[in-house]
Parts: sequence; C-alpha cells; structure tokens
Amino acid sequence: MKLKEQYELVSLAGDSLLIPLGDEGVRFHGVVVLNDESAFILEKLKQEQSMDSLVQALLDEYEIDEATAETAIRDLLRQLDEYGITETKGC
Amino acid sequence: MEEQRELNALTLLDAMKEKGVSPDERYRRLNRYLEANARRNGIPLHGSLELTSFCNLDCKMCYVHPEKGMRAEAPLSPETWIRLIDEAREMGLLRVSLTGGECLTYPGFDDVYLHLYERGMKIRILTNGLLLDEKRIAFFRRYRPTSFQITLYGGDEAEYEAVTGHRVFGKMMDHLAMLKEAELPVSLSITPNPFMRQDVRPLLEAAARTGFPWQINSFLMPPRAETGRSGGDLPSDRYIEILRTATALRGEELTPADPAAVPPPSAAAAEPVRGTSCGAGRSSFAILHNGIMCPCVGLPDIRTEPLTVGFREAWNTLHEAAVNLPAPGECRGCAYEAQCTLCPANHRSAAPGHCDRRICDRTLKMVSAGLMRLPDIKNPCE
Repeated sequence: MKLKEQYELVSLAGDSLLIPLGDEGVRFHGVVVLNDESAFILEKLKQEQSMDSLVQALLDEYEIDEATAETAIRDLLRQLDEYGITETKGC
Repeated sequence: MEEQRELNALTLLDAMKEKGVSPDERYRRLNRYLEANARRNGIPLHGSLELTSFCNLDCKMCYVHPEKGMRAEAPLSPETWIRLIDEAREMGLLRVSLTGGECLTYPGFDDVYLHLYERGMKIRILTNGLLLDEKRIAFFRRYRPTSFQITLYGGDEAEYEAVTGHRVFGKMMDHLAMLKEAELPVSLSITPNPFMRQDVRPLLEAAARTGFPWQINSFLMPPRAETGRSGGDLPSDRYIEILRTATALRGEELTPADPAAVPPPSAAAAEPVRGTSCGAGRSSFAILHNGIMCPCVGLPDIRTEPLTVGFREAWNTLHEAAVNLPAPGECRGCAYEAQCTLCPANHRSAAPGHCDRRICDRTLKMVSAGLMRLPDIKNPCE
C-alpha cells in the first residue's frame, strides 16, 4: 500500500498536516491532522509498504511492543482507507 | 504511545469532538488555530499575489491601476510567480489570494492558477467579475477555487460608468446569475467611494438580488504614487450613512447608544508599541505586480525583494520589520480597542507609533449610532 500521490505531508510550526492536492482537494475538502506516529507512518507510505515493513519501521523508531504497533497501524490504515487517501497495488 | 497534552492542532480537534462541535465548525476553528499559530511562529501561511496592475475597468479611486497616460509596468512571467509560490510553499504557504488590477486579465493566469490548484492551495480570487463569462465559469467549475470575492461598483449603468468608466452593470448581473447557477462560492463586496451615487440603496439592492452574501468594505486604500491618482477616504458620516442603509435593507434595527455612556477615545500620548496587530508580515504577505514583497497591499512602504534575495530571506526581513513596526500606543487600553480597527494600513497617515484620529472619530460615531457595540455600553431600551 502507498499514500496517494495527490497528498502532501506538511509540517507547520509543530503540527503535522496531510494536505490534499488538485482535484483531491475539492473531493476531500479539508486537511488531516496527524500525531507524530501517524506522520511517521505516512512519511513511510510515500513509498510502497507492506504491513510487516510498517510494523518494523514503527518498532525501530518507538519503544513499543509489536502488538501495540500492529494495532496502531491497522487503525490508521483503516481510517486512511475510509478517507480514500491510500492506494493498494493492483487496484 | 504517549498522550499529547499541550495545545496543538490534534488536542484542539480532540477537545472539539468531545464537545460535539460540528465538522464544519471544527474545520473553521482549526483554520483559525493554524492562522494564530502561524502568526506566533512567523510562518507565511497566506500570500496575496497581485498578478497585474492592468485592469479592464478604470475605477477613479483605484490604488493599483495606473490612470490613462501613466506607464504600466510589465507583469512578471508565470514562471517567476510559480518559482515564488514554490519557495513560499516550502516555508508554509497554504492560502493564496489572487488580485490585481484585474487578475483575470493577466495573460499567464491559467498557468499560475493551475499550479496553485495542483499544489493544494486554498485559492481566493478577487475580481471585478467582468471576465467571468460562460467559458471562464466552466473552467472554474472544473478547477474550483475556495472562493471568489467580486466587487460590485454600481446599481445601474450610469453609476457603473461614473465609478469605473464603463457601462457594464447589465453584463455584471448576467455573470453573477451564471455564477449562482453554477453554484460557485461567491461573496460580493462594495467599496464606498466618492464617485458612487449619493443614494446607495439601488446598489445595495442589486447586491441583495444576486442571492450572494455581500458586505461593505470599511476602508478605501490610498492610491499608490505610480497610479497618478490622489485622494483620501470618505468622511465617517458617509460610511455611517451607507451602513445605516445596509442595516435597514437587511431588515435589522439600529438602537443608538446612550450618549452619556459613550466614553471618549483614549487621549493619552502613550509610548508606541511594536508590531502589526494583524497577520501582515507575521503570517501573511503580499507580492506586488512588480515582484516587491510587502506585509500587505496596504503597507507598500515596507518592502523586500524576493526576486533578488529569494523568498526565504525576503520573508525573514519582512517579518522582522513587521514585528518591530511602531503601532499606535494610544489604542492599547482605549475603551474602543476591541471594536476599532488596529490595522496599520488604516493608521498609515498618522505619525509612526500613533493612531489616526479620524479612525477614532469614526469608531466613536459607529458606536454612538449603534453600528458597533462596546461590551459594557447598555442599550437604553433594555
């Protein structure tokens, strides 16, 4: 899975925002506000990632256990999917 | 994962969700927070781009468009604007106002606009609306801006001609009807000026008939030297008369304040304070048609040159000047501070660090007339 190219991660005075670009801005009409961990995952999602690679990246960066990392990533990906922000290869 | 407790965009959103604030209102408040945070941190969140000084109208009070016979400067190329936009975006630019002159006459408008659109900017277009024909409206339906702000100059052909030199009232009304039909986000503004008809009711009624929201501008920008024009703002009484007419047209009632409860404005010769009281130079900038950057179009004397030194250095210099700009000391603690305009452009004609007493006079009269309310002034009818 991967972040759609029509989104850009922006850091603004300590806040992390995901900004929709072009037509996506009209469709989405808003911005996504991210916590540090979500911003970290989305930064990774600029490149194609698997669930395993995301979990590993989170474990490498934060002092958390694998189950917590996996739950956090699943929750985030579910929300991103609901918003139509990510895309999966082959779709 | 550790819960964040300090105020940031995320904690603000969480708090609003807990309180059951609607999504639209959350978005509005988030934007206000981003603006305030940008001001605190000196981030150029909003830019006003004056694409050209050229205009298809000849408004007699215009502060940008040169009078006939005055030399108009060649506009910047679209590539130059795009470079400036990208440099500004690197520093936080997310909202852009396109203005002029008439920005839709700029030959590279589509290139600049589509670049902004593709970069996800919130775009506001300030226009006289004359070029918003069927073809243009189709373009903006496809590539939708955040908003249009259209200035209406007259209530009939004769008034349009008196103010703008062109009999285009009918054409304007047609364009506004097409914009309404296209469901594009338009608001109308009316600029009080010495050339409009004494009776403003026909103009205000024309605005109301469009079905778009409309408002009356509170200040007439003094013309820049290169326009060849001179002229000042209207007297306070004229603004009050226009606002009274607007209030009546909206079906609202005015209750004048009890004269005994209207305090005099502060007369103390206070020490100047420092810094613009708005976003000018703190979170916003204007780039004029010749590439000069100012805190806003109303403060053209504070200038930097992003084309020479790059946007980043130009913004840093501008920001430093804005936070050190002498601001009216008298206004701090004045009974009207919360209601009165602290806009530094409005006070430009006063000595640096002092307020323009005509502004004090206008605010006092507005409060007396009931057009503004001070928090502790009682309505005599209550």
